[in-house]
Amino acid sequence: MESPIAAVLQQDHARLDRLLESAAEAVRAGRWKEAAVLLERFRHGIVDGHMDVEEKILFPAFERWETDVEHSLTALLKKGHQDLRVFFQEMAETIGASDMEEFLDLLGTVQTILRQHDAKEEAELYPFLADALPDGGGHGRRPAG
Amino acid sequence: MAEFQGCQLPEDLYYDLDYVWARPGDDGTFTLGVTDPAQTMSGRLQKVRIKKPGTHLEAGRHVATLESGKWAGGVPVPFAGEVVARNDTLLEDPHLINVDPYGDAWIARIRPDSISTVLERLHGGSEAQEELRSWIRRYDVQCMRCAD
Repeated sequence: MESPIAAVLQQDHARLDRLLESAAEAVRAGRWKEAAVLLERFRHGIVDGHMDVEEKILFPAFERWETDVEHSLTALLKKGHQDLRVFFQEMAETIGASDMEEFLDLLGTVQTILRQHDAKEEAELYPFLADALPDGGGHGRRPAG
Repeated sequence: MAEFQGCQLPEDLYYDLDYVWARPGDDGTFTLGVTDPAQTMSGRLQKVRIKKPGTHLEAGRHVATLESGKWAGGVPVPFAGEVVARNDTLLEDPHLINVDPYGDAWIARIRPDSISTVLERLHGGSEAQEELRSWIRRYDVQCMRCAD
């Protein structure tokens, strides 16, 4: 059975996907100011909320539980976060420049990264968090944003 | 050429100690590409986008994006500069990066804004070799040669 912490995190992936798609819809419609606001809402939710919780709480707990050292899985996931932060900045700049073609190119790459990254987390990390977290994740922080 | 877990690591190149290698040219430009362990981690590449010549990039920004069936990511520039050439062959044949990452599959040539800052994020010699071995261990990479 899926643990509550795994369910919360998976729902957050879906919420963030919807936020990114809403920003993309605004870009496709040429509503640049709205797109900037929506992309920033997405960036805040994923960087300051979801990734922050993962990097400060969940990855360290998994590493302590699994090997007590940096694990290749969490190393890879952290690297993915680093790459994504740069892509989000580049997407914001294309909106600032009203460059739809460049934004949509970046969007395709970012959505591919997110799809693969999220699938890896949901298959290889989240199922073990209930065991890895001291309270089983029942009282963990919810991602902000 | 140095090798670790099947991954080739030429000693005559500079590295950002992550994805990227850099080779200085006689004209003040640097040719960039991705390392053998990085192309291995990417999987068989199916799509490459490279910024057009004339594009200016700040350090850390992506000069190219790569996609395979299992992975997508960016190729960051280690220093600020202008793209002066790109390897258009890769746009038609992305898989070449898996075959010849240090040769025919170079990605772009960059003219740095300031030659004095180029080596701030690039490393060579034994230090780079040791760090790249750590990178390979960290991501648990085992390289295998692609012949076609």
